[in-house]
Amino acid sequence: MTAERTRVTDEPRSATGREWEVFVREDADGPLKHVGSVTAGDADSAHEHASSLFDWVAEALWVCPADETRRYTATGVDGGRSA
Amino acid sequence: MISVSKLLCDLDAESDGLRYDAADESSENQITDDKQQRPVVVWNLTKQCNLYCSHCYAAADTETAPGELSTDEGKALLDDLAEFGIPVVLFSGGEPMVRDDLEELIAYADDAGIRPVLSTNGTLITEERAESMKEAGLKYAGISVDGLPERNDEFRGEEGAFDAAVRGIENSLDAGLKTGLRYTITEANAPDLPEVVDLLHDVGLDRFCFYHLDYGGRGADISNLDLSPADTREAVEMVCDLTREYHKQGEEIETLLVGNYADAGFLVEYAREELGDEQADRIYRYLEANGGDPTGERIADVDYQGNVHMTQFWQGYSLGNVRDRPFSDIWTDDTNPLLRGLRERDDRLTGRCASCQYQSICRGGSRLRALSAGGPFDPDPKCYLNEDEREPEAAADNAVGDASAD
Ligand code: SF4
Repeated sequence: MTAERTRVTDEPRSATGREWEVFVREDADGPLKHVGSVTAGDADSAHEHASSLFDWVAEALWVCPADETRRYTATGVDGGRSA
Repeated sequence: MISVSKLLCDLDAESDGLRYDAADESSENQITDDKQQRPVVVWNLTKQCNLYCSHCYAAADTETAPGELSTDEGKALLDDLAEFGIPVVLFSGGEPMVRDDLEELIAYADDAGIRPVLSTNGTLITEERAESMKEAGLKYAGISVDGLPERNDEFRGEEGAFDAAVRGIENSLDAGLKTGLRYTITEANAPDLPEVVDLLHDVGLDRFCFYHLDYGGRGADISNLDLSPADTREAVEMVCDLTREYHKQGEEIETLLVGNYADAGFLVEYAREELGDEQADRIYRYLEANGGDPTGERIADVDYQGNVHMTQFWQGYSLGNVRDRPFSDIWTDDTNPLLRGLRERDDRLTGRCASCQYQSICRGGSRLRALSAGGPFDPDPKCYLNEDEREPEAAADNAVGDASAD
């Protein structure tokens, strides 16, 4: 069965900075997993912020600007408002 | 949330075995049979506020910010929260009363079986709004005042804010709404605390919640205004003393402490000194059943753009967004290592928290403040217990060591 995904609104995700999606790999042979997002002015501060949260567990850590990410979902509350 | 009045004045042998519940801002009996399974959810309805307070964790603005969850999205969120078994939703902000669908959302939550409560600066509570919120099913309004009039107005960035909040309190009480004070303790306003309680008790309030400063939003910028450990201790002792004083005079006010679970250890120490071992042990058992700092477990936050946070103060990191995924799925996703780690933090806490005798009733205090000191499992820099209290045996050994070194 194919899920009915709609595009999630691309309104800003923070009013105090830019939002950065964070991905962590816990084991060398494990998956890179989305673990939430941090608010930060630039990529370096986002990395620093995410490191303070995940250093204890992360083999690899990625930060990606949320406003460059297109999100499509079948289960969000916005019901495809911006699809 | 620690109920000082309940623990120091209302605990008796008959209620032993019951559990102390952390339902933030709920006016329900704080002692319940079951440990709270689902978190109380704070929902910051809007970033907009009619005031500009220096300690605002939500860094609220006088303008509306883009991306607010719409009424329909809010209802879809409430449906999910209800199905998930959320006991209480705390409408917060910004200033939640600037949203004109507030009453609609209160009624929706109430109908769905979630207890709707409100956190507000009180200045917009007219007679009409108080009545319409009560009619919609609001169960409790927590109104913020942060000092005697002059200090409060300075803090809140507007002259007359204190008087406006008092009018809001009166309107809320007149409408028959259970109403309480929210007071964020800082270095500047700590001395005002007893007088504010007296003043607002005269107005008719009988519930007083005292918040320690947490370092989120604009609160982070004023962390240097936080009380020193010694002054924090003094302020908490003042809350304990004034609670007992009121109760002695037959005025059964309710007093609560929020945001620093070192208070739990302090309360046990205080009770041992003032009320004896038996009562202190009983208080310890209740607090242990309660479970200590609720971050990532008994409290959650959804911000105005739908980002889910581990507490209302921890706005800089989000677990996910309800526009992508239901709150219930985000909250139960144990593959998030931070969420998992904080839920299993007992083995991870470091430094003085690792060896503290009060760890099971405190659980390391604020994890957000810990982060400001280093990492998520570091000690809370605002713990104010001394070594004798945290680790009496080690303190005794050190004393012997010191003496023999002489
Ligand atoms: S040392 Fe840590 S666990 Fe003990 S009371 Fe202080 S903050 Fe809580």
